Amino acid sequence: MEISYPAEAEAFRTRIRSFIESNLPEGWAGIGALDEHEQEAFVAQWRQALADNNLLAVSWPVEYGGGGLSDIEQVVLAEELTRAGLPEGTENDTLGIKLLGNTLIALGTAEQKAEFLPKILSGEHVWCQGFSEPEAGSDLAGLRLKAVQDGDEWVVNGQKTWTSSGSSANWIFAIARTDPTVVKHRGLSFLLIPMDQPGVEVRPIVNAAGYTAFNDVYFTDARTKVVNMVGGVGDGWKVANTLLGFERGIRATTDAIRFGREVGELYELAQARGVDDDPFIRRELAWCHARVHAMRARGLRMLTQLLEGTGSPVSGSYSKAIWSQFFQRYTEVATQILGPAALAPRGQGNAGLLTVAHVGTENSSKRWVDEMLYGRAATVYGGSLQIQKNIIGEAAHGLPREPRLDGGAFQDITAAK
Amino acid sequence: MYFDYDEDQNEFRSVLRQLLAQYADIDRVRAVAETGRIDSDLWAVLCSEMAAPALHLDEEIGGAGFSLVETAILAQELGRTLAPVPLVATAVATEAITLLGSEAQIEAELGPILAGKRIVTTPFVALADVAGAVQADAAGALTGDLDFVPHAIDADAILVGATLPGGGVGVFLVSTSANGVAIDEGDSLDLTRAGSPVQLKAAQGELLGGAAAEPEAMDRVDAIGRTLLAADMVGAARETLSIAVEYAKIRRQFNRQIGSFQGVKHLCSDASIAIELAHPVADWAAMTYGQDEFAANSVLAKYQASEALTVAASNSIQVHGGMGFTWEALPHLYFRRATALAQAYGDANANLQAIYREAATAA
Repeated sequence: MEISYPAEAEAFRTRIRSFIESNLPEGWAGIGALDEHEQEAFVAQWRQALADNNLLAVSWPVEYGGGGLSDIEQVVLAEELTRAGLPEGTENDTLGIKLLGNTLIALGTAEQKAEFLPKILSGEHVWCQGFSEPEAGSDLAGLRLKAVQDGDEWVVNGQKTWTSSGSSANWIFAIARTDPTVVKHRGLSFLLIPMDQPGVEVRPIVNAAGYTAFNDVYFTDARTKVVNMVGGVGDGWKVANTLLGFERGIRATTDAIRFGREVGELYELAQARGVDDDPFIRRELAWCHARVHAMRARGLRMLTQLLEGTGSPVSGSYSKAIWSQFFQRYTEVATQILGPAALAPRGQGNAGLLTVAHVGTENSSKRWVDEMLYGRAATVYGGSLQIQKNIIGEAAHGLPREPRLDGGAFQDITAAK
Repeated sequence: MYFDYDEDQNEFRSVLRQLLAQYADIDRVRAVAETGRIDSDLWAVLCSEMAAPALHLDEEIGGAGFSLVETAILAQELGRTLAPVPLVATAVATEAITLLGSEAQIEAELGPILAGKRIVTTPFVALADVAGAVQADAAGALTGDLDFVPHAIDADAILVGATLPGGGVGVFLVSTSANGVAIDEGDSLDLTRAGSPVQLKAAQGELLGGAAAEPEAMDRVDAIGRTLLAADMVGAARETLSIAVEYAKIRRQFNRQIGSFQGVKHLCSDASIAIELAHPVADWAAMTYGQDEFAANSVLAKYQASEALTVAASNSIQVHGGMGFTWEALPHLYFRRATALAQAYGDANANLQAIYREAATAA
């Protein structure tokens, strides 16, 4: 067992570090040190720098305009960007490039690839995801967005919720119900829908932390061309699962980097608050350190398995369970450290980000209180902790599922009435 | 970049499993456990056929020239089966002898230990901490009480740290048949790793290296104990979870398998997650044997593995319901192992204190 990366990967790392250095402004102190408008401008400019150097769509094959990087190179790039606190693109890019882009490459028609892939890259199309609904969270296959064919168009009615970065998007990929007469997951189809039309309305959701990072999207006789369906009618569940498979991607080693930085800042917070000699605070900080070490070790094992092709899809469930619970606990530790100062959060906040703060964000009470509040959501989104534990029990250990009450035609399921 | 078991290591594990299926099936393990002694036949076979205590030692001193990862694999399998053999204690003893002993002492001690002919045991306590309870006089006669020495009844000698009259810690070998050594025979909490309290009253010890031990050397000795116990705990955790999962599939209540109830399922998932975290940490420590970071990594490994076995063993009892609290069923054996090893080389709080100190120094 050994953990040094291959020489070519280290050479690539050196290239990336030098790319990063030469593309950052003088006196760069992290995105967190910029104000909101500067942040937006920086991310746009940074995206362009990535695109100019073929580092934007690194998981796409070269023939589609991608970087064609090997798995280990993608890992090294992700590590270096995480270390420097730089994004891989905009938040919409995660959905457009990594998720939808790879799905179109795998399952799209030649016309869809020709039409959409270049526009994802150029940023002309900005994508968001329409999966969850008020009545369909964990039970995603029970979704109700309805699509009915009318000539050469699909007419879409219903609502999507928890659509992240929906207000900055102009296209949405959504799963809709095209046939309620069959078993629920078989009656779904995958649609690409332009948002710039009267029938699509985006309304922000104010979350419990007071930020609007998510949206409701209302469809009232919204339309999209028939050629904008990915896969055939009834293939929606399969396409969606293919898409979600790309979510895992090359993140094995970045959690330890990002969380390691946070724990370091937690130590500094404890010192600043004068509680770093408290044995209970020390115990918590040590626990945090141990957890980061465990994530690092596990990350390298997962990376090995990714490179060797011996990995398992269930590893994503372990990852989610581990990091989301860790995030909750260390942000609780932050409030312990802050003590009564947490009751009046002041200073720079965490700008509505879901997890770790941008590099350069102040070690302020508001930053930590924002993170702590977001910690409550971490075990819910992206597959709740209970769902992940079910998956672990069933897929990793073969435990039997609970008896189901939602078989048969969707329209006959009682709850759907 | 390869942080997983290679083909040879997987093959080694497979061979071990075959051997242990023959010599360490649960009925035999329990029968031997009843005696409170080690399984001498199994230890003899492991020493002669698997080079068990010699795996990670250099070939020049009679070792097999493999890495500590191989020894860790063996420790995992022994933990999995709860086979009552003194692998970990032996590894700590050989580490102390090779790091601290004079050439003559190494020559005299190592051969018989590696051949399985001589049993040298030690408490699973940091040497400097043992020295807090044991004093040596100028002639090397040791006085003090040891709360628990695994395999004491079977041992020819015990490795202990003792405070020297001039200051510092000396690491001694004390023959169990020496005057002044009283072994308090009786029941052990951990039925499959039995041991005894030992009182030393001016018992003559042999000082390894004839001088006080360097703290760094003692750290390395402690570290190998922690690392192999971490491997032991990972193996045991996986097995007790596996037993629980099997039970949850077989046992029916309310006309369905109890494992289909989310509450029961999640007891298994929680254990699985804890093991998923602990296993790579345990391997990381074994991988860094001989490096500067080994001692710090061993503390992280012991801490993480202890958490995993504690969760797995407790949850395994719970999944088994009433059966989990019978003598006859297996879960209590793993629970006893978990509770015993939680105290090895410092409990969780002590481990976290050490982790804090290390992290704060590095920061």
